[in-house]
Amino acid sequence: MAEHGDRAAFLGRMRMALAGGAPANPIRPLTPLPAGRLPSLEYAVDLSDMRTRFTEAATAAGAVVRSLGSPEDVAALVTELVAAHHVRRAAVSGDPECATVPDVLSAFDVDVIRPGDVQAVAGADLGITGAVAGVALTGSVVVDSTRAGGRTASVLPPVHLALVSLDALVATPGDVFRGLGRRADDLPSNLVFITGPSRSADIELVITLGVHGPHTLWIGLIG
Amino acid sequence: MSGRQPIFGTTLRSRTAVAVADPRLKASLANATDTFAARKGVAFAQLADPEGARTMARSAKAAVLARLPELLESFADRLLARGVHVWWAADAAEANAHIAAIAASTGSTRVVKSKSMATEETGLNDALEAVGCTVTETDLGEWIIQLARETPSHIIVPAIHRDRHQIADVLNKVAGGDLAAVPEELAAFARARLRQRFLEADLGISGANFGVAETGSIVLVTNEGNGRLVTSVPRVHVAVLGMERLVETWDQLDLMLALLPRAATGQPITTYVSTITGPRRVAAGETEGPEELHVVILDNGRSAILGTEFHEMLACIRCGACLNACPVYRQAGGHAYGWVYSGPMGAVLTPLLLDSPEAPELANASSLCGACWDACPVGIPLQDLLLGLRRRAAPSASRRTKAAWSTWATTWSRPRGYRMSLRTGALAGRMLGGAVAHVPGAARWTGTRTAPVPARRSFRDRWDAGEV
Amino acid sequence: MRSPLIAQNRTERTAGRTLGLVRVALFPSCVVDSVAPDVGVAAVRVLRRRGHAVDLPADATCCGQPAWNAGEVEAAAKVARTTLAALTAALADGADVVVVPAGSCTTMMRVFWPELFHLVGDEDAATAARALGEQVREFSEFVTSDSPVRPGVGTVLSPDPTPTTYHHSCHMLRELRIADAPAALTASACPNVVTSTAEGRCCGFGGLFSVKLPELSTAMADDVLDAAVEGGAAQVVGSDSSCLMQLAGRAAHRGLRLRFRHLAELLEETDR
Repeated sequence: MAEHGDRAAFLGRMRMALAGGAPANPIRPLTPLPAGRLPSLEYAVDLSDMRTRFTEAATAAGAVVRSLGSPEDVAALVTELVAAHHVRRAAVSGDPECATVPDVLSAFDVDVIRPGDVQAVAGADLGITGAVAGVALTGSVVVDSTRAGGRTASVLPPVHLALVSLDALVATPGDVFRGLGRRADDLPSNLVFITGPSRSADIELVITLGVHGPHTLWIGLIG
Repeated sequence: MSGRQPIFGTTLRSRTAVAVADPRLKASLANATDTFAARKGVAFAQLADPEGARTMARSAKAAVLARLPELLESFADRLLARGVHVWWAADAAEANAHIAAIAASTGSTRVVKSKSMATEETGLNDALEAVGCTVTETDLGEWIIQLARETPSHIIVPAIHRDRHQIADVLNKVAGGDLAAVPEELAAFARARLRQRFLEADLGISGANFGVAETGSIVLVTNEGNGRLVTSVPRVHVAVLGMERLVETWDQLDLMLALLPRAATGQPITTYVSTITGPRRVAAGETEGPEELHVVILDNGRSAILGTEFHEMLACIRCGACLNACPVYRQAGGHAYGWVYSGPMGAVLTPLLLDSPEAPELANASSLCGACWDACPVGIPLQDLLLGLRRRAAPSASRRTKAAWSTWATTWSRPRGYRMSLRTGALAGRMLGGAVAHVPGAARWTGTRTAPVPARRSFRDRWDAGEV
Repeated sequence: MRSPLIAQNRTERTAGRTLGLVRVALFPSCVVDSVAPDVGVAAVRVLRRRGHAVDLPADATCCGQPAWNAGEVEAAAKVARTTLAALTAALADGADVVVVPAGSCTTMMRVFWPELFHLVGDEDAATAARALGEQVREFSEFVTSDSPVRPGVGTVLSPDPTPTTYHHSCHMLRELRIADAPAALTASACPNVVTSTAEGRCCGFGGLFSVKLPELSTAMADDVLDAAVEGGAAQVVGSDSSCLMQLAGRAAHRGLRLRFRHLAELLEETDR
């Protein structure tokens, strides 16, 4: 039995409360909503060159962005990160952008951890995923748990590399959300917008990175 | 109705007096509120029409609340269709009992939590510990106050009342005394210590910033990543959602997500925005994520607000912008409000959700300046609601107070009575001279401020004498 | 945006009235009446200097705000009704506008009176209040936009060089949205403008709040005063005598070297 508690009573209380209609504050009149879907939110930011804007925004959020024109460039970046972060174990997701990555890693004797073994992913030095979209306004990469086959490669290891195709860039978060309403049955269990490395400001508002997700985010823009 | 015990048994005045006498607190609060306010302006400027966005958000929230029962039905049906367990919790006790039952039925004892104000409301941690679970808060600020046995003093940065030295004191009790009062070092310790807890936990409990009715999704907005770990690593995930935290569509979600982080911390977007729809999709090839997902939908006094003159308070998205704008919060900090919610939204919500006879005076923790209303991304006129709470409390005022207002009204509704009282006040003031300070109410003014001298002759008297 | 009073009244008024000049019914407010009558005097002088006729409706008392803020609607309505009647009668008797040298009282009348009377079930008064509200102006609002001025009158003749900051009172700022007018008037009279880091922040008066939570109220006043002093101000100008009373009272207790003036007093002195 997947439903517990008393739905009827719960909603009944609410229906009684709303029986007289929702009250209006006469001093603060409400503006009526447009019929149908809300209009797209507009930004005072130039989004015509999405690649440039994405790179700027992601960099401002603390990510390191590299343009990767060819498959060789992807391999070169992976190689660079293996050296820079002393990688011995890497978690690689099932995203199509990562298809060539395991072979590159094997050449360096790096253990490749596939999604599924969370304890092993936790022991990885580097996590590599693809992205179903990149958002130019905010510099975010969007990772889809069905596409990736997992979730933790982008959050457990201390360094995350996200490979996103130029074709997958959209202008605003709304552009990602817009289609989702019709896909209820199809949505991944987890869709996450990642913008920069993990951060906390809980101590005197001083920003500290890497609590509790990755302290470094690399983004490879392919295309 | 209420869960966690509030720290009442003190008056609002005594709590605010203690707070304003603390210079360290004052510096912490000024730093936090000034920083957030500055960043907020920059972030809002990114929107082509910030005021239009706020107006639309207010209207969208009103539309959701007007149809909340229907939307909750859709939401629940969609959740069930995705294999999520749905738990209806009428009050704090029921919510805690439901979650304890989930722990028991799944054999879970090691709990990790990411931030959830709703569970602070219900006192969940104590209830789980009472049935043998260990509960670890994983949000850095929440973990600090959990260790310090305190309540949060700000919605977004719960430990803001503690500076780095005070935080090092707390963490050193766990670390054994070696940590320097350096934020990076303290944070690194927290990461290492809490990492183990994430990996060992069998139950993750989170809040939810929003529920999206059209697909049965819940949305978490975080910066640290602990929310992602709590909702992805343990075998079982429980999300607790206040019943009013719905939006109908993903368009509405887009609008709320454009406003929430900008209003809260001045960020265009938080580091992580996670949308969760159902548990792990094994058939679709997902190999990670919780095997069981439970959503607890919480009333706990919210239906008693619905449909009343305080209805609009249910539009609150818990961003904390009102705290950052409030001149009272700036001086008094969060603990002066006595409960889980502080600042203007706390001053309104606490008397509405808590049955305590000491809660209504929180409506007096305001000069009605309206800065909260200006700051609120969904346009809630908090100062109107505070005034409404004062009207609600007025019939319970003391007989002396009622008599005083009655006399005042009778005298001042008559032109001659009004003039007479001005003259008498002036005369009394002159005759008593310095003795005015000894009049009980007056001492509250003259203790820290020079009293205005009533004019020998009122403006009206001078006018009547032809001198103007 | 309110329609200009003159155009509104032109067709209704007849000879005997110089075109462009207004009959003002002054509502001083109870604070001005009792502890700051000089503000009332200054306001009248400024208005007359601009060529307007000023009358004082004898039967107006208080707007009722002290009780309204305390949640005591019956008491507030009882007092407000008297003032509503007196001011409505003054308008019927030939006044063109009610001018109030107090932002919070203007707010009470324009924004809250209809709601107040509705709450006590007096719909007639609510309707009358809505009508009256159209004809109520805060002092700086009137002087700036509705007050057509004879050429040469109302320019600042002797500006004050004192470093001055303008204190926005909360109702005026957030309910009436009157901010530029008084700030500009202050700047033209005192060109040495100091912008405080606490601009727009509440002085801590809030009516009875000031004595219900005196420590908190005092701390809020200190915040505003400290910022003014740090910004180099030697003078604070405002449009609400209650805020000025709070700030001046605290400044005096602390021995701060700050002068406090209502905008009307400032204009009266610098317009000569």
